[in-house]
Amino acid sequence: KVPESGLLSLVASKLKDRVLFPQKVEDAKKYLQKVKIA
Amino acid sequence: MSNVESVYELEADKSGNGLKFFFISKGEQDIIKAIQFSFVQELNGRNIYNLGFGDYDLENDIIVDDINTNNGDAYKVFNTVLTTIPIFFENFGDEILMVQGSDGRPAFAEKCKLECKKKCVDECKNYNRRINIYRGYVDKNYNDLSADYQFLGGIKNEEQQTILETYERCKKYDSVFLFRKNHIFTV
Repeated sequence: KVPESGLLSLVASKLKDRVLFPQKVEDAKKYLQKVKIA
Repeated sequence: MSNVESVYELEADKSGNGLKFFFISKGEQDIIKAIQFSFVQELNGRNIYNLGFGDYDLENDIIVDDINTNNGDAYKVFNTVLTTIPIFFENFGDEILMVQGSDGRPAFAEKCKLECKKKCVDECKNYNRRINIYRGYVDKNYNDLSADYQFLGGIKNEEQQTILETYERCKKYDSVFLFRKNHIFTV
């Protein structure tokens, strides 16, 4: 029986150094490859 | 940026890679949700950060951002995500935030066709659904939000060039960019 705040703290420390959405970052880079600002 | 009463309690993590938030969606089941603001690249001398949002599968230690969990609390989850945006700007005041849905990927519609029950004929109804939700929120609250933020709409043209323009309400964009109003984005 882990309290919710404790569970989220555990998750946060477990994922501390991880890029959680690497595919989204790659998608964003591709999206910004050819940008025209109007 | 949203009604504080209808949001979940957040766990914030400012250490490590970018700014992260976690909360538990409590609908038909308990689902750990993860939000991360990640650096993408520089554009015209300004750093662009991307908003990532998805489910954390604790058992398999993976993040999933391309399924709809339908947990019965979509409004509260969406509001909770919105509350993290002002916090992002408190920590990264000079930067630009880019919002794009994971259902806007070119391969999304093809994958959706294989599993979806809607049997769409012309255009996949789930394609870009998430960015449409964000756009709907911006359109509805544009006057209030414009007091603090400036918005740009992004759209791909036929030459696969991304056009960024001053945001127009009710116009179809496949991405939304925002930054604090007192910071001019020069071209």
